[in-house]
Amino acid sequence: MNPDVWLFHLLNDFVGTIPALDWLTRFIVNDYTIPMAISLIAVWLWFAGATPDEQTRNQRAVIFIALGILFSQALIKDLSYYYFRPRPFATEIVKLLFYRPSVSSFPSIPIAVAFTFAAGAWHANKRIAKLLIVLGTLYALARVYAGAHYPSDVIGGALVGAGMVYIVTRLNFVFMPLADLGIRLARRLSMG
Amino acid sequence: MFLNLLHFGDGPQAINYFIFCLVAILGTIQAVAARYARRDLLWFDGPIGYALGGVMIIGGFVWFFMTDQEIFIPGLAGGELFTIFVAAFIIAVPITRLIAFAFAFARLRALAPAKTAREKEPSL
Repeated sequence: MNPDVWLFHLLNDFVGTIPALDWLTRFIVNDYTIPMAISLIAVWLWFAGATPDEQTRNQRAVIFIALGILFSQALIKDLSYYYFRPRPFATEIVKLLFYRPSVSSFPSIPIAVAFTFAAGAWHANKRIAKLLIVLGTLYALARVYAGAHYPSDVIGGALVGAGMVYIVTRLNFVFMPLADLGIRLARRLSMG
Repeated sequence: MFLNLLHFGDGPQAINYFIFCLVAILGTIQAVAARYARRDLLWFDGPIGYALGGVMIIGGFVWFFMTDQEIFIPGLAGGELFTIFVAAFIIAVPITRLIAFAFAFARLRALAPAKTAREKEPSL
């Protein structure tokens, strides 16, 4: 058996065994809980900083996260024109704890977003980044457990999200001035 | 043009989500303002600021999940959720500053010593 499918069933076949775990998964896997939590952490990062330099570094990280999301979503959108992977519930016998999304299973868009936040925060505040990695991993596990994704989908999503932030930070000679312009504008508008 | 691509639906979900975002962002700003003593954002000093932030964040989550029955079915997509969150953030920051300014002004007024009758009516 394909190891991806085997690992998927290892997690998903467990659904229905512990009702509390299923309830917790439903709470984590929906489109609101984790995305809202990580967005609020980005709001925290935007205003955090004991010194002006630390605050600027944090705000640059938030702008790099935004750019990473923009580029990762563009890449995933383009990828979906060339490659469409059906969801597990379309090809397997699945115990579904989630609705039936119609977009390609690979790579996972929500997990790409979650790991864009984690990778972006890594450049400013490692403690916050570790918290975001934990949340992203929980989200990824929940998506597989709930039957919405194969394990390779969430791994692919995480790599796309983190990879895009890596590219943005490597091209900082382009994006750093852009980020600083955004920060200056935000401060002039009393938003920072 | 960008907004034409978004579909906020007919039901109350977009409004509920906006309220959820606004309350949770206000709470987060209070918590971070308390942590870093940002007086331009802070409504209450010290532990009260943290507590208020925590209550607003947790209260927002509880309210949203109790109110919105359409959370576990396909609803707002990523673009809509992002747009609503950004709109709530843009509104939350001036609200925070306005309330912080009003509270600081009220505190200053309360702390200012009351003028005595002699100060009010100087003798000739």
